[in-house]
Amino acid sequence: MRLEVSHLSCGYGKGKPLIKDVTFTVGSGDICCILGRNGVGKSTMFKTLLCLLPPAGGHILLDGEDITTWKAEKLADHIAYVAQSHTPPFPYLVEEMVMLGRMNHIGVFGRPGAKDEKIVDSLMRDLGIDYLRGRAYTEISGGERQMVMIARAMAQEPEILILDEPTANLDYGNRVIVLNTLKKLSLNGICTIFTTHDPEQALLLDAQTAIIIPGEPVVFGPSRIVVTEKNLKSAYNTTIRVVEIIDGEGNPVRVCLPMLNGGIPAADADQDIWKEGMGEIQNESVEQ
Amino acid sequence: MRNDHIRTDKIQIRRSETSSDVERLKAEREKTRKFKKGNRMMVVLGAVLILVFFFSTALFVTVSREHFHPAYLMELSRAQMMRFFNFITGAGAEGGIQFITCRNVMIVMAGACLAASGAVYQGVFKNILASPTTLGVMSGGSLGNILYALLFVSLSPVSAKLSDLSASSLSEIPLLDRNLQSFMVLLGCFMAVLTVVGITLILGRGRIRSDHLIITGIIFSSIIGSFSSLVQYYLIERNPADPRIDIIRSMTMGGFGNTYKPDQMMLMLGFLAPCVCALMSVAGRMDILALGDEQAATMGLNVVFFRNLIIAVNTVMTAVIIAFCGQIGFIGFIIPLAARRLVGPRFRRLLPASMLMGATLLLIIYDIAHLISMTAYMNVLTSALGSIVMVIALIRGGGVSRAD
Amino acid sequence: MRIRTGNQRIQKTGARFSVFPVLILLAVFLFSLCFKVSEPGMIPVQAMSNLWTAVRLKIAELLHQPMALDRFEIIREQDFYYETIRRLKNSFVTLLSGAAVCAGGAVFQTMFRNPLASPNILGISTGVNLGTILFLYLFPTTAMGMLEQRYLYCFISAGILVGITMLAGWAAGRKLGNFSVMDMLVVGAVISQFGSVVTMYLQFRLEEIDVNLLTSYQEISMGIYVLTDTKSILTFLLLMTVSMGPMYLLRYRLNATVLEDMDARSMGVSTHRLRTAGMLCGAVLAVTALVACGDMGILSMAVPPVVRYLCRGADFRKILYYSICAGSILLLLARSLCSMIFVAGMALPVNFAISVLVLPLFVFAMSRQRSVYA
Repeated sequence: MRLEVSHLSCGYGKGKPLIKDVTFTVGSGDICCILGRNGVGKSTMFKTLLCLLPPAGGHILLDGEDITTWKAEKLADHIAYVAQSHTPPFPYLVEEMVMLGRMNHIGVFGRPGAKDEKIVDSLMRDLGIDYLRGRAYTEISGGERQMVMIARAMAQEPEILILDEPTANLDYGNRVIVLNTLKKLSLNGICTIFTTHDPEQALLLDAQTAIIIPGEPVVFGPSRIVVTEKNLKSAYNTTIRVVEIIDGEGNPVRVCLPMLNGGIPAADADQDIWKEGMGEIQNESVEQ
Repeated sequence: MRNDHIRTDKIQIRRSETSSDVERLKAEREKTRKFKKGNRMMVVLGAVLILVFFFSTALFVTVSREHFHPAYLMELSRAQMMRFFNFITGAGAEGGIQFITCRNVMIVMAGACLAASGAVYQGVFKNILASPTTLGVMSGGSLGNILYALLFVSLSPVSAKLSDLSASSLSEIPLLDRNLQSFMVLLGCFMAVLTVVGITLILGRGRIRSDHLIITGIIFSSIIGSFSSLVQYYLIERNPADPRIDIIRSMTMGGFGNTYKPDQMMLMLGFLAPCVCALMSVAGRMDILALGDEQAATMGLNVVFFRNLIIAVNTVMTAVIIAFCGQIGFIGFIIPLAARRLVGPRFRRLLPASMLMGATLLLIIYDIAHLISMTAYMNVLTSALGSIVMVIALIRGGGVSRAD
Repeated sequence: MRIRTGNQRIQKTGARFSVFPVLILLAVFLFSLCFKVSEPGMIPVQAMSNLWTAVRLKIAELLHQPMALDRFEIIREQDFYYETIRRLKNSFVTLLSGAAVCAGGAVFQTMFRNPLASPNILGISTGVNLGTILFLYLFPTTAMGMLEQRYLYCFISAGILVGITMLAGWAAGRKLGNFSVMDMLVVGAVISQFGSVVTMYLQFRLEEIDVNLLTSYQEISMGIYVLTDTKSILTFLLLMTVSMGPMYLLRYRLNATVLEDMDARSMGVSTHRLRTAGMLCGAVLAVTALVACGDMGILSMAVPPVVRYLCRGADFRKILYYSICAGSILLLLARSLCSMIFVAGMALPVNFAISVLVLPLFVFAMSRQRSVYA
């Protein structure tokens, strides 16, 4: 499986596209992390990838086929999506919620059979949410909900899993659970694309990282190379230190720390610094 | 501008000071300008009301008395002139213009108070859709009226409708009996507010959510409506000429048929004036209430007490109108919407403006009703107008969630 | 060990529904056949034997057996034969109407993701009442015989009210790019209010024409009246099949509408078409039931949330099944009991009784819900 995005521009209607010229390629088992400030157009890009919005330019190819011409049913067999956590109005049981992911395999007039039950059952055991089955989705915690939504998306049996800020509003423990799950899925050959506001997560997962900077081409590459102080500064418009520390097993781990005083106030953002930084970023991406 | 990185702190501070000064000055100027604009708007509204009042009086005279029709008035014979003069002064046998003026004053009071109560409900519940109609206060009043009709109206011919009695015979009836209907209506209104707000609190688990409030109010209204038709059904089945049916109906449809005596007008004024004064005197606090409970509490306001007080006074005001004029829907909903557009959301201005506008609108609607002879069904006209305005307002304003 | 528990649970999760509600429904149905205060009661055996006679008569007629016909003629004369048949029709229509109106409520609530969205809030009940009274007002003398026109008027007026409501929801949510359910509900509620004021006005005009006409309208609007002639029942059954069939087939698919639109579309489900189908079915179901059986108060709004509170989970298959059972049981019971309670020499109106009885249940169920409604 190979998802190629070439020169993709996304935006609503006929107006100026929000994001221009996105180019990247991901394959089975890759983890792709997308970084960018609020409102830069990450969700819009996801909508375009899911064919909910027509692309304003460029192509999205899955194994050489243009997915924008596919029907929703066919697309659902290949790409699954996990939205930012939301609460449905009715107390669905967790297993019912996961079962909803089987919808595209069941057919319009069908209902779940023994095979679907078996798939859902093994999926829930694999993701470690077996203990939740009989509980109502509205009564479980945020982290558990996120896991249930991932299970629901996996019940679609997709090749690509797209997650919109899967760790938003989660505490450290739950974040680690979700990130570990993503890692496990990638080991099973699922391609995972997710957004986050935490650049560390890209470093932790050793993911392919795309940094969206307004008005500039998207920076794409392995997180070790792409997540640098300069790139982060231009992405978030604030000073962020990337430092290396040693974890318990003696391996070097990089972490990102935002600096409170070193940042440039948004109103006085200096154009020259911007340009400088961008030049280096471009150089770096050329080097790759 | 870009390369003066090395600025002294002083300059920065001074710069920021001067800029904030300018902003403050600007804001003040803006404020005074708005204030003056608001004052002018008030004068305009008052003038419009007076104009409409006179126009409507003239219309009443010409439409209701055939021989004062403009075509007749063209013929300026002496007899015609005398007749007209007598009518104006109330000397002739025509009943005088007094009763038309009284009725118009009644309409003005009803419109003004309904609009004011709508504005207050909207402020207290922080929701543009709250009004006497949507909260079920109107239906509560009609429930009280139904209970009054069932429990206290005797079918003997001696005590007919109160409005048919002359002033002298009215004074012979004990005070409680005379005002029993009004008391029952008041009781019904309070019950309605308590029930609706209570159910909303249960649904929102301690919080008043605007959507719950409206829908609870409407469900309450519909249940009262079905109860009302149930009672009418039984009464008609037993005796189609039952006088109690008329009492119930005149209340549900609204109208100014029986309210043209000066003493009734004074009675109504005596109840309404204190309520309006009370509401005006707490207008500033209502602004604070509209900021939200926590905010208001931190600003040193006894939120629960004031809110309950305001709701109680407002409900009394609405109940008085219902007792005299019956249900007149949606005036309290449309007017504050429009008034807020004209004079802004501050209650000190909003209340008088919506009172003026409410009075004007109700007068106009009554004139139209008069021309198409539907004066006994005011509620139909105002509801039609109200629901159309509401749908348009919701569509153009972008919905309830943003209208809060 | 682990696998075994898994297997046990697999069996439990399967779409198995309790037969208990159906048994209660049958019991209530039998009860409503046997007991009625104003008329002589009969023991269940008698009722059953009468029904059996009816079946055999029909068979005999079909097979042209004059001998058998003569034999049954005697039984027909002796027993409460006609009474049984009348009550059977009555209870049957009542049962189906209760089921239909609650199914409509369940489908609307699921599709709009809001437990307050139901036929009586969206303006369907008011539309039917308005249509009925308009029809009576326009054709005062021949009204009760004109079945097709009555359905037509009710469908048109309910359609107009629901159309305005939906349009308002669509227009209010247009700026945000999605459908605004809360706006739609509020508009629906206000339009219902307006519709009921107009209905009341028309009632007064109707009384000026003929008091009896008003009484017959009131019987319809209060849920005392039931259509029982053969043609009405056939029309009723036809409309029910047309609307219930697609809904039954789509019963699992309709779950997808509960998810956010984006989720559902990424799952390969076109919520737009699904919603349209569900809405049409629900509206036809509700209008048909209301025309056949009169107003039923807040039954359609209250039953699905109560069912959701009582049974674990919210799978639409489950909700539909239990709502249908609960709705028909409640309506049958309410009708039988109301026909026994007399106020001022007349049977108690059903819609009022239902509203008063079900409202506390509804408020309780809603207040116990854990989720936040949006």
